[in-house]
Amino acid sequence: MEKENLNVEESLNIISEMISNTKYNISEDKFIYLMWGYAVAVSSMAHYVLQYQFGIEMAWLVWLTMPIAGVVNAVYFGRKKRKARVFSFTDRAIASVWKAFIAALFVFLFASPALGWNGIYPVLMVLYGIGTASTGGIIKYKALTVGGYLSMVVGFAAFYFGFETQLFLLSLSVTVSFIIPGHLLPKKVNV
Amino acid sequence: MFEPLDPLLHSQLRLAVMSLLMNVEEADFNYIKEKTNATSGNLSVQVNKLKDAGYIKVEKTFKDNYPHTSCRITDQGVDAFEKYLNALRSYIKPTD
Repeated sequence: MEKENLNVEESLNIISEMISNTKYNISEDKFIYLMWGYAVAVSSMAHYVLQYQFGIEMAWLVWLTMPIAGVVNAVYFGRKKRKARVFSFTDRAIASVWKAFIAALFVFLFASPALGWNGIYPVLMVLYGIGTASTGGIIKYKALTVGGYLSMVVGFAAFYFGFETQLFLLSLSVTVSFIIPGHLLPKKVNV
Repeated sequence: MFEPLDPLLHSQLRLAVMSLLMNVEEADFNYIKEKTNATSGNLSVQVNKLKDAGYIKVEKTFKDNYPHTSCRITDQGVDAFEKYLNALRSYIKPTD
C-alpha cells in the first residue's frame, strides 16, 4: 500500500535508505585489477628473464599478453554494461578516468619510436598511477590511492635507470597500484 | 513557518523512487522495484505519476530481446526534490 501521510522522520529515513542502497561497489571489479596487475607484472618479469638471462631477442613478444588481456577486459565490461541495471555518477567518473587513461596510453605507445622504450616505461608507470590514484580518490579507497601515488614515485625513479632495471620497476609499479589494492579489496567498498 | 510539502513527493514510494534516481544517472524498472521493495503494479502507477508531473523521464526499449524500462530524473525533478528537502528542513529547524 502507498503511504501518503509521512512524518518528517519517515521522509528522511526513506531518502537516506535509498542513498545507501545505490552505493557503488568496486569489489565487483576485483578480477580486472588483478588480471591487469598480474598480466603486466608477469610479462615484464618474463621479458627480463628471456632477454637478459637467456639472450632471446624476441623476448618483447611476451607483451602479446596485453591485447589478450584487452579482449578479456572488453568482454567483461561489455557483459557488465549489458547486465547493468543502474548507471551512477561514480560509474561515469571512473569510466571517464580509464577512457582517458587508455587514450593517453596509446598516445605514448604510438610515440614510442620517438621517445624510445627507455622513456616510455616510466611514463606508463606514472599513467598507471594517475588511473588508480584517481579511481581510489573517487571511491574513497585508500589502498588504490596510495598505490597510485607510489606507482608515480616508482615511475619517477625509473627515468634514472636502464631498460633492464625498468622491467623490474614496471613489475613493482603494478604490484603497488593494481595487485596489492586488488587483493586488499574487501567484499564491499561502497561510495 | 512550515513550508508546504509537495504532495507528489510526500508519499512513501514516490519519495523512494525520487531519492534513488537523485543518486544515479539511470536505473531500470526492476532495479528500482528491488531497491524499494515495491510491487510491479504499484511501482508502475507511481512512476507514471512522477512521469506525468515531468519529474522523471521513462524510456522503454528492448535489451537482449526483452522489454526494458529505464528511468532518470529530469531537471524539473531535481528542482522539486530540492524544494521538498528545503521544506522538510523548515519542519526540523526551530522557527525564529
